[in-house]
Amino acid sequence: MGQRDKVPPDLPGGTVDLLILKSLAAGTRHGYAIAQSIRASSGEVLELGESSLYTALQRLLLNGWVKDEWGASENNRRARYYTLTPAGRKHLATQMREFDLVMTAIQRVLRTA
Amino acid sequence: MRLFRRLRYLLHRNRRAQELAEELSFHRALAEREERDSGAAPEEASRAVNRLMGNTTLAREAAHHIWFPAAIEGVFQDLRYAWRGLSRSKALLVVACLSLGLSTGFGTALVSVVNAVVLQPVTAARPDALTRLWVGTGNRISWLNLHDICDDTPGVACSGYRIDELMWDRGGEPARIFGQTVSPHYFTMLGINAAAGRVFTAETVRDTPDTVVLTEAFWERQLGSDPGVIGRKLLLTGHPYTVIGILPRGFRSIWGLGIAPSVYLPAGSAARPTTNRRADTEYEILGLPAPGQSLAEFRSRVLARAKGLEAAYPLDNREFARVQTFAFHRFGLFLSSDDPMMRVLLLFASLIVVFVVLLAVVACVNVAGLLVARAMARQREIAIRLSIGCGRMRLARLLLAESLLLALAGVGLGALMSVWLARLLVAVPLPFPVPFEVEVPIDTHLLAYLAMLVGLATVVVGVAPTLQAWRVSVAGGAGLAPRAAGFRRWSLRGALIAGQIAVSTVLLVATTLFVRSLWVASRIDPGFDLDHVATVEADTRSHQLKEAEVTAYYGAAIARLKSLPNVTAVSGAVVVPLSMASIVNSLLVDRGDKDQAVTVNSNWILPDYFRVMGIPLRAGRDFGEADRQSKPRAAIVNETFAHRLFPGRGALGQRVRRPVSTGDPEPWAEIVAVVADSRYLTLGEETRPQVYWPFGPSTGDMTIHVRTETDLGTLARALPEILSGVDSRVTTRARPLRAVMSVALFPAQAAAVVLAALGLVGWALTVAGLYGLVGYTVTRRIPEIGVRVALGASPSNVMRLLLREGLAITFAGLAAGLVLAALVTPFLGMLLSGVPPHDPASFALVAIVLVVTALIASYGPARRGMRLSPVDALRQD
Repeated sequence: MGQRDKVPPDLPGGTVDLLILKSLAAGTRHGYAIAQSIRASSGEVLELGESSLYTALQRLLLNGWVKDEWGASENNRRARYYTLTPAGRKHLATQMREFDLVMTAIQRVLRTA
Repeated sequence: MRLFRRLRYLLHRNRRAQELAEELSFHRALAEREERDSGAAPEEASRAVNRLMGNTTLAREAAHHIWFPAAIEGVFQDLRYAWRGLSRSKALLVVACLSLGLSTGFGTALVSVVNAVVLQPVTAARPDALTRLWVGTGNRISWLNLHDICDDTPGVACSGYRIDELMWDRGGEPARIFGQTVSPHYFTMLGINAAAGRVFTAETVRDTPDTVVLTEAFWERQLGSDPGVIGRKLLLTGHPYTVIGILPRGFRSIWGLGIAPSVYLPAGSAARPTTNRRADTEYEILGLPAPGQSLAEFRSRVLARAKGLEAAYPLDNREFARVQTFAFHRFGLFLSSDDPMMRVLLLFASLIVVFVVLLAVVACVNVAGLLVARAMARQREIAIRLSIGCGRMRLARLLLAESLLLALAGVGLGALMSVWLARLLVAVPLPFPVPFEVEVPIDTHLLAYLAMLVGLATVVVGVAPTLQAWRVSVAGGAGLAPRAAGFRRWSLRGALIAGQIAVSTVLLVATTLFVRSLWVASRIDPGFDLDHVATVEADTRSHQLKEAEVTAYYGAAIARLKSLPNVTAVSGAVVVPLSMASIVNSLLVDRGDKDQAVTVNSNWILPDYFRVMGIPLRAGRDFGEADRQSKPRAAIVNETFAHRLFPGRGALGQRVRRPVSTGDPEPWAEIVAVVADSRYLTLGEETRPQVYWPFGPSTGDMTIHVRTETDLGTLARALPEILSGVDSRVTTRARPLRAVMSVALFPAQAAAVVLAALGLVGWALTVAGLYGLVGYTVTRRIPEIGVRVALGASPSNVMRLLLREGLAITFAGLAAGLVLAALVTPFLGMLLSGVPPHDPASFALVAIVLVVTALIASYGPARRGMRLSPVDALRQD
C-alpha cells in the first residue's frame, strides 16, 4: 500500500480543512465519500485517516462552515451528510486564494534556490 | 456564534457522541467492503481497515475536544468531583456556607450601602468640571447679584442653588418637603433631561416662572406615580406651581450622600427669590468652566463682573470683588466641603471596609479549620489516590476546587443576603427629616468586591487543607504505618483557631475602642443644653399671613407659652444650630479709619435666648425688648469672635454693623455682651466667630425655643394643641432640641451601632470556631479517653485535660491578638477622640470576653468527653 498509508505528516496546517471544503463544494457528501473523492482526485496520493477526517469535520461544524444532516446512503444505511454553508463557501474561496499565494511563493523560492 | 454552538453541543453531548460512533462504524463498514471487493479475505480486510483508520477511541476523543477543550474539561471534572465529595458531608457544607454567607452577607451589605450612599457621582454631564464659587465675603449671594453674575456674564456658566423646607398644601394637613431652588438654566448647564415632560430652562421660566420639576421618588411615593401629573398644579408655600417634568430614576442631586430634594423650583418664580434686596445672602453658586476654559480664566471673568457690581452698588456690595473657587467632588457637595466631620465620615467608611474584610478572614479561617479536619479524616482516601497514581498537583487542584465551590456557595449566599439587607438598611427611616433617596445598585464596584471575596475565600479556605494533604505519606495515610504521635496532627488546625482568635481580638479591640470613642464623641458638649429645650416651628406661610399678623402671632404664642406652669423661659431664634440650617455672612467691624469685613455665623434672637439654651454669658448683658429695633444698635458675639478680633482688649463696647441695603449705612451697633462658644453647623467643626442680632420688631418667621426643667417629651407633645388656640390658621410642630439636631448627632451614633454589630458577628464566628475545634478534639480523642478512664482517670481529670487544650489555644491566640492590636490601634488614633489607642480598659474587656467565651465553648464538648464510659470509648475504631 506504501504511499496510501496516511496523510503526509507535514501537510501544511489547515490543508485538511481546505481539501474537505473543496470536496464538498461539488455537492453534499458523507464522510466516507469525502475521503474517497480526495483520494481519487489526488491521484491516490492523499488518504485521510479516520481521526483527522472526522476531527476536521467537527471543527468545520463548530465554525459553521458546513452543516450536517442524516440521510439514507446508497446501501440504505443511515449516514451523516455534510453540506457547505454560504459562510463555508466564502471561507473556501479565501483559503484557496491564500493557499495559491503561498504555493506560488514557495515554488518561486524553490525554483530560484 | 461559536459559543452558542459549543453550548448546544454540551447540551446534546451524549447524542453527539453516539452519532459520531455511528458515523465511524458506517465509514468502517464501507472501507471493509471496498477491501473485500478488491479481493481481500474478510479478516484481512478488517485488519487492513484497522491499520488504516488508526485508534477509533482517540479519534472520538479528539473530535470531542474540538468542542470542549481538554483544559476546560479538566476543571469541570474537578468541580464535579468536588461537588460529589462535598454533598456527601452535608453538615460541613451547611456550616461552611452559613459561616461564609453570614460574614460576607453582612459585610457586603455594608459595602453596598457605602457604595450606594457615597460612591455614586452626581448626575451631570461633566461632574468633574464643576466648581464651587464664592463671590464677596460669604458663601452666599443675593438673588439680584446671582442673576447678574450667572445669567448675564459672557463666558461664565454658573448657577445658584439653595435647599429649604417647603409647605406642600395637598388638602388637609400640609406636608413638609424639601425643595431646591436653582437658577433657571440649572438643568441646561448640568446637561440633565427629564424622564417625562421637560425640565425648566431660562426660556420657559421667562414665559411661565411658576413651574416645578419633580424627582422620580417624590412622584412615585407622594403622587402614587400618577401618569397625568404633568400639567397639574402643586400648592407650595401658598403659591401654585405647574408640574412640567419628572427627573430620571437614579438622579443624584449635587449634594451627594443620597440627599435628594423632592422638587426643583426655578429662582425667579413667585415665591423664590424670597427677597429682592441686593445685600441679602441667599444662594450658593456652582460654576462650570466651559470645555477648554481654565479655572483661572473662569475666575477672572467672574471677578471682572463682581468688580462691576461692587462699583454699581457700593453700599450693598461691599468687598464684593473677591472670588474664590473650591473643588467640587464628583460624589457631591458634602464630600467637597472641608468640614472635619466629613473627613471623619469618609475615614469611617473606609474603616468599615477594612473591618468587613477582617470579618471575612475570620469566617474563612473558620471554614479552613473545618476543611483541615476533613482532610485529616480523609487521609486514608488521599493516600489511596496517591498510591494509584494521582499526582499531587492534581490532588491540590481537587482540594482547591472544593474550596472554590464552598467560596462560591458561601459568597453567593452572602450576596443574596446582602441585597436584601442593604435594601432594608437604606429603607430604615432616618431619625430626622432629611430628604434621603438611595438606590442600591448592583454595579461593577460591588461585583469586583464580590469576586475579590470569592478569590480570597478560596485561597484562605483552600491553602491549609491542601498543605495538609500534600504532607500525607502514602504508607502513613493508608493506615499501614503505626499511629504516631497524634498531637502533631492538631498543630495546623490549632494554629488556625489561634489565628482566628488573634484576628477576632484585633477586630474586637478596635470595635470596642471605636464604640467608646464614638460614645464620647456623641457626648461632645455642643455648648448648649440639649435636654431641656423644645423648639416650635409655626407655619405662617400656607395661609399667607400678612407681616403684621405674623408678628402678632409670635407675640401671642410666646405670651401663651410663658404662661404655662412647667415652662421656665421662652425665646426665639432664626437659626437652630446643628440643624443643617445656617447663615454665614459678612460683618463690618469699626476700626476707626476704615471698616474691616469679617465672615461670621449669624443668628437673630429674642431676649432670654441664652437662658433658654443654657449658653453662659461671659460678660455684659442680654438683649432687652428695647434692643428689638429694625436697625439694631446692639449685638452680642461669642468668645472666639472677641478673641480673634479684639485680642487682649475686650470686645464690650466695640462697634459692628451689617453691610447695608441701598440707602444710608446702618447705624453702628455696640457689642453689649460676650457669650460662650457653641457649635453651629456640626459637632466636629472648628468654632468660628459668631454674632447674635436682636430679632427685629417684624422680621418674619422664627423658631420658638421653650425651656422646661420637667418632662420635655410630654411638653413637646402637648405644645401644638396648646398653641392651636392662638391662631387656628397656623399649624405648629414641636420637637425636643435633640431631635432637631439628630442630623448632627446621627453619624456618631450610626457608626457606633454598625461597629458594635460587626464586633458581634466576629465574636459569634469565633465562638463557633472554638466550639467546633473542641468538639472535634474530643471526638478524635475518644479512644485515648477510654484508656485513661479505664486506667482510673476521674471525670474531673478528663474535663481538665480537655479544657486545657481549648484554653491553651485561646491564650496563644489572645496573646498574639493583643500584641497585634496594640501595634494596629495607634494607626486608628486620628479617628479616636477621647480614648487613648492603648486604652487598658478596652483591651482587658476583650481579653475577658474571649476567655469566658472559650470556657463556655469548651465546656459543652468537654462534658461529653467526661461522661464517656470506657467501654463505649474503646469500642470505637
